Amino acid sequence: MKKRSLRKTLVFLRSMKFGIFLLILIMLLSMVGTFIPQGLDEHSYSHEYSEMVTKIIIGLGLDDVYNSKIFGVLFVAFTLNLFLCSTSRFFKIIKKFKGTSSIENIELDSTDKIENKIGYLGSWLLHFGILLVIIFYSYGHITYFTESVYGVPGMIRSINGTEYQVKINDFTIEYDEEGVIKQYISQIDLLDKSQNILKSSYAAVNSPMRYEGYTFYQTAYGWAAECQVLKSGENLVKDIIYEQTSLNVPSENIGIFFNKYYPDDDPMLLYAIHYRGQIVKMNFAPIGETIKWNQYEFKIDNPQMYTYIEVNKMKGQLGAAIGAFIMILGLFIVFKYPINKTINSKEKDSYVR
Amino acid sequence: MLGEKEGLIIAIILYVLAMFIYIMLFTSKKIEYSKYGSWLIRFGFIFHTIAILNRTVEAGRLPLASQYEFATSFAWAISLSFIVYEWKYKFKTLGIFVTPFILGVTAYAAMQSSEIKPLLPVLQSKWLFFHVSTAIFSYGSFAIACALSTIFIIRERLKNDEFTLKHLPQQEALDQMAYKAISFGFFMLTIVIVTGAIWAERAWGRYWRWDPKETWSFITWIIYAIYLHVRLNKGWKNKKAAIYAIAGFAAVIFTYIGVNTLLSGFHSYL
Repeated sequence: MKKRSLRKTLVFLRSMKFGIFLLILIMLLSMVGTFIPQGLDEHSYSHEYSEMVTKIIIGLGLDDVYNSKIFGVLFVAFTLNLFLCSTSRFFKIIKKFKGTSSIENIELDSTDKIENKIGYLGSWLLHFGILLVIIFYSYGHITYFTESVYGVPGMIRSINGTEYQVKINDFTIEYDEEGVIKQYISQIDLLDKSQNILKSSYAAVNSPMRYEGYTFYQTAYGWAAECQVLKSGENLVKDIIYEQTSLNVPSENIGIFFNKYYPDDDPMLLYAIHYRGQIVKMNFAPIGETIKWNQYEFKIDNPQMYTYIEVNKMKGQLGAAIGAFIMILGLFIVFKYPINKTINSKEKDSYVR
Repeated sequence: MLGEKEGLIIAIILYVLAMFIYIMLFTSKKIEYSKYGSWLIRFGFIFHTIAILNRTVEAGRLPLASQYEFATSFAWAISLSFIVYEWKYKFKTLGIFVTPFILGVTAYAAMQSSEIKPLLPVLQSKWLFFHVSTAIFSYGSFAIACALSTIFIIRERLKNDEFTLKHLPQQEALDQMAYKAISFGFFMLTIVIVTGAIWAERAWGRYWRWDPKETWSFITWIIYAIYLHVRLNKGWKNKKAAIYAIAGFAAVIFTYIGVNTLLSGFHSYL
């Protein structure tokens, strides 16, 4: 009795009906994820939606659908469905090729029979390929590592979570003959903890630098400058300040926000001084000019471009690529040798009477 | 010298004329008109090709990098698919259902900016060609499948007079043709997704990051995967399959236009 119900459960779990049911749910959740902004905080949702809708969004994890438990469970169930289906079909295909299957009761000539078998193999390969893609993608997703480093040429920045450091040697923007941006290139050295060079190369858009599973992407760039904050002539802090960031002096509750740099003939910057959480001054200033507020002085000078490099490590990429290749191969076979040969050459000619 | 704009205008005029000819064919029930309609589309296709070639020369790259360029290429792919299908299945009245698709997509193109913009660095990749050209043929095939499914539904309501019996394919044949078109479109869509993933890994650092365009391509893929599964395994065909194919094409259109206009993501530069 137990055996029978276990068998029944297995048959259900590997059934197409169950697979399609899961696909529909995955599809609906995916749709939801495209309409509800992802990754915002609760306050942003309550601002956009009613209290009840916000509760539903947060409660069901719809604010991060693709990493939610529901989505995960659905994918695990779908993987199980594909695995069971592929395993059971694998044995059927072997039987088919050995010629012991009685499934083909359709009247087919010998060529059609072979083609039909190849078609079944193609279909199996397609499903097996999808299974590989899902498994390796999930593995890569779970073990995914991402960090970023940014800075101006000459800087050495540590990659958090690794023993590596990145030395930024240069950052250039290439233009074509019409003055249109062609490429963003960062010349970088990858260093170990003793600052030995492991690799010296470049990272550009569409051409990342790779090292032992880590990939270095040229992601963004912007302006940075040297900034000094003084109080009654005494230095409080001196550091590099990047566009859209602040340089703060926590002990004084004061800071300066570098909004934007305008590198024209007469270079200017837009800044905002904040004191005790309030913006107390906001204005344009020529680069290098001392900005004064009460007894504080701010000097922003030597603007230069900074580069922003994303460092990722996604495991299982080769497995996923093999899976994708098998998938396309399987699909090609199915396309070339359709399983249900309902259209044969005679019928094709008689479409229009 | 015939430029891109002139070529496209002539192509549109020829497509419009073809549509009128096909309407006349249906109202007068004179099959001889199909010959003229078919030739008009073929000539339209030639001028359309000239327009695309001109733009390719002018831009110094294949015109696959903006909404306008994709739309003109998409309409071109529908024309090509029509010519192939008409030739392969000797389906003389197919044009009446395909010309509105060609003109609809071309009208959308006309609403977009046709300015030739330099390629952003992220688009300067050899994967652009593989990714977008397969998308064009995938969408083109789904459009043909949608047209064939529409004919299927309409044919059910038409009287079985001599003209209908002689010149409109039987519903079973229409159903099979739509299935073939969807199979091809699905194959191409799979390549679109895979090539897009490879490109995304090189450009954005992850081969899949649930960007709205990616997600909607995946949704479209699921929709047609369900169609193929249910059809092959449960013998789901005819009217239900036709309605499903039409609904599936709505997802294609949303993936193409809706995502770019209503949602924002990594593909928003297109």
